[in-house]
Amino acid sequence: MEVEDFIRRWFALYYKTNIGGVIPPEALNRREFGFIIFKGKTMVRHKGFREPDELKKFISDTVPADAYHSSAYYEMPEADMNEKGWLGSDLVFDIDADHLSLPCKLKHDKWICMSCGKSGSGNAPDGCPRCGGKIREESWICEECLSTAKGEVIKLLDFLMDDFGFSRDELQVNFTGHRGYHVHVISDEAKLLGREERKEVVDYVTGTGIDLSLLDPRRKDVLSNAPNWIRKILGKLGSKGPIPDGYKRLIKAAQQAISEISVKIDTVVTTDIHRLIRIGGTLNSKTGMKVVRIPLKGIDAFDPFRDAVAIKDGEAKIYVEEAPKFRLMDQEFGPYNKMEVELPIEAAVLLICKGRAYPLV
Amino acid sequence: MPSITELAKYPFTGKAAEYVREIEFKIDELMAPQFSPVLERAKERIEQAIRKMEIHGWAQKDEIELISFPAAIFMVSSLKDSRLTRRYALAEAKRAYRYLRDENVEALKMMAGEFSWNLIELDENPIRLGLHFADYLRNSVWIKESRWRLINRRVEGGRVVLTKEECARLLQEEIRRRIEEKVNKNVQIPFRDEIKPILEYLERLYNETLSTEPIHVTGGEVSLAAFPPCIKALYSDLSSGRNISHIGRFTLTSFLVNIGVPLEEVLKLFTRASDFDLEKTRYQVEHISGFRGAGRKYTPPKCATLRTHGLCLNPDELCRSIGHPLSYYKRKMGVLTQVKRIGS
Repeated sequence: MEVEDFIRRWFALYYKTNIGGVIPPEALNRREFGFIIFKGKTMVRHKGFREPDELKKFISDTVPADAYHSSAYYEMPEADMNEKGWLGSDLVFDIDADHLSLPCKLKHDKWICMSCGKSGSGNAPDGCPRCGGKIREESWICEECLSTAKGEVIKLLDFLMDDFGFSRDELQVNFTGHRGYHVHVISDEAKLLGREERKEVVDYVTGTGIDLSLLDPRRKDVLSNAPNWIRKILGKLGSKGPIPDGYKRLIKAAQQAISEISVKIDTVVTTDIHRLIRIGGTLNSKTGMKVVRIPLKGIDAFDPFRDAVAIKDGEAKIYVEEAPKFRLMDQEFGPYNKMEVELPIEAAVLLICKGRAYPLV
Repeated sequence: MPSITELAKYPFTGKAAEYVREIEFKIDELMAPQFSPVLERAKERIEQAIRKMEIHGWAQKDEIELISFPAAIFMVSSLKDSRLTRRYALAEAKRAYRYLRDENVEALKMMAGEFSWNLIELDENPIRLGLHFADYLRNSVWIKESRWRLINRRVEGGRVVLTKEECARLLQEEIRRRIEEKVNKNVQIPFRDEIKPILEYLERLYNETLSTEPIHVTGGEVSLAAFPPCIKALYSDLSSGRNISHIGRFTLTSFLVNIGVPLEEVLKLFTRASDFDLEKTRYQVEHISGFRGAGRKYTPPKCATLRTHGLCLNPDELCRSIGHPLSYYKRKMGVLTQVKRIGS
């Protein structure tokens, strides 16, 4: 059976029984929607819906590979980009394990040149360094990636609540169904921030552009009203022992502290005021797992390999090219290397969506 | 109702506009003899804005001082030049700032209310004001110094802590934008012939003072050695087939196009590096160069934006004194720039 047909069939079955789990965004009739359609993997965008049910019906009828809504609110969501009439945009943060340059990436991410066969591990180059040929990426998600990403989410939430003063009910956290998390700030006050203003927010959470001369102990005048970041840095240094007294050593220690305190986000997503972002409760075609809205107090306990498993109850026979050991729900799978196996459907779908396997009839 | 003196200090406020409406001052009455001091002061406001980017002095009477503001707005707006508009608005805003600086907290709060700011007094002694970060950012992004960056501020529960003087400085930015808006939104009315000589005089003065063309980097050999570190890094990444982000590609392309590298050369760089879709790359490069789309030639992002997106790598000594990768190149090349005067 064709890979695409296989996945689409299981997605259709999922939406048939779970369409109630789709979470329509706030002010739905002001949003633009976009979908990646299985056939040809093309993007259909500039869609608009008036009612939550209309959106749900569209999803269960078309069975998209991926489903998105705009972070922005528009006068006319279905008009061309220049005529939509921007009314504001949620403040959105994207934390992606891919951007964290973790050591585990070298273990589980590979690339291979489709022309000459040259391969390597870790980040894939744009083109083959040997022959310039097209590159195929083979990435994987592991517990280490996702728990590091979750740690970043928790740091970000602290910034948003303590420094920016957002309340818990203005913040939404979604697991993306793949390598990371989205944090949405739904607030009238944040809605009208422009690109430049959002850039300042990005700089703030990523620790970019701190005036370290304020750390100079001779500048006692500023310490009484010191910027939050200076306090954070001194707090971090203080927790590690005596604060270095030489200015150069102090700066070096401060830079280390900044990299620990700051949040690693995909900066482009936050400054883009027209971004399309995944709809909660829909499926991600890169894994077959679902986008999960995580209650703020449930973040610590959230387990993506259990809570985001969507397609269940079934089995499939597949041929696996190669896959590392992994866990879904409470079951361990793999490693596999060029073999036929019969697996629970959630494991089969994950391997097929990740391009590591194909279905056997 | 505040006194006329107060209104004349801040003639851009709703209350001031209301007063002018109530005395039924009509712009086409400007030529009447009793209004000639108004006309004189309006002309002086614009003249000073052009010459010094500041507005000083005061008319003989408060009312004249007040009415000369809408009269000046009419004049600037009929000169229809966006740079003059910006300069005039800045001068008026700086004038307002000089008065605001000396006001008490209540007056500052009133002015903040004029712009619907979410501002409270956190402490009385010493005075600490707390402004919601969204109101803060809308204005601070226009001010360059690093102490205005949000990351270098004390923030308490979403409120940026300000001194009185800082609050007045941020209000200056809000006032500047309101005045620009006033000029741009102003309905054009035909002036009587008698005013034309004044407008012609101001136009001439303006052209002599500020019509210098923006500086372009053109001509001569393109020198790789003069590239700023960020561009060098992008350039060498691309040449060796490494992954560069979309914004990195945009930065490199717009930089090369702006220093005068021919389109075909830019394309070659991209195609040499990896197996790119030639047509797609050509389309993008042409778009950035202004040969497609809205015909706008793009410039690379400024240093602050590059820093945000992690593209500022190994800044050197020269980087400290510039704010834009093109300025770095210009400085390093020592290119003599042509200053061309329009209209002379």
